[in-house]
Amino acid sequence: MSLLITRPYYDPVTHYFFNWSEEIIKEAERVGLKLFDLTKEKAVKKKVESYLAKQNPDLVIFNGHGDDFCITGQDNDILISANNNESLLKDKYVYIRACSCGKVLGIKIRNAGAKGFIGYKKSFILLRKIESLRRPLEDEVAKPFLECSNKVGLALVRGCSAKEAHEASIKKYKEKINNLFVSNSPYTFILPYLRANMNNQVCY
Amino acid sequence: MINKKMGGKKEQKNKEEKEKHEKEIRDLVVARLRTMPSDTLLSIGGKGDFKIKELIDFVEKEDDEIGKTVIETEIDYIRSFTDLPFEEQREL
Repeated sequence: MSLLITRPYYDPVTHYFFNWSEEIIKEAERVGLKLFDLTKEKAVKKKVESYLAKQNPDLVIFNGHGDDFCITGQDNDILISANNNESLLKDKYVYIRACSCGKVLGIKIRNAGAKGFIGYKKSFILLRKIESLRRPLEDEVAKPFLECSNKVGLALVRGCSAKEAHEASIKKYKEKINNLFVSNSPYTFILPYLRANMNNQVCY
Repeated sequence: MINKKMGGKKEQKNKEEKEKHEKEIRDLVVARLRTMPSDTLLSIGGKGDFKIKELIDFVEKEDDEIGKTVIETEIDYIRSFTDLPFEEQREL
């Protein structure tokens, strides 16, 4: 089995996704997946299309910004867009950690023959601490958002189906929300936004 | 003629009540945002990073997509307590 992951790096959100995706990469290496890690300037349409066509990975994880119709890479380069090149994702499990791709693009990807799709039908919201930009893995405010979304990627690299990975992530969200709700944590203000990401996560 | 006048008054009253209700919601969301630490940023995808003070401005204006997202998120969360059966309310 093999994994293609895109990790653009050009603004705070992609900086957080870039660093937090290390956990998924380590797990992929641990379970012995062949890894194609397209970082920074490698996370562009030309490279992604080439890797999808030539290496034919079983699992594809996109990190970045998106909208209803497309997912972007480095410097907002459009990687996959609806009614254009979604057929490249045929026979693959696809997870898109970006805003709104679950609304239209995810359905198109599934209809084009992907084995499964997980994404978000509305904005992916991330709350974070101003002073933690240089240490994103230590940001206690951002941590629950990224741990819960990482769960999708971790489950997929361990061989779960899209449905199983989605359910594992939702379970993680519920645990985090319940634990935080009854805690004395100073970070309970994140609860509405964590819940929104959970409710907006879709699986086709 | 009388019916038309009465209908107009009713419409005006409904409009005023709707505006009052919307203002109450905005005030509630702003009050919740004011409890958030000022060193927090909210990122909404590619739309950017926003300080709490900026979010409060967006909510008060309400005509911005960011403000609408914040209002919807906060109000959905509050409503989740009334929609659920008691056992689930205890969990969430």
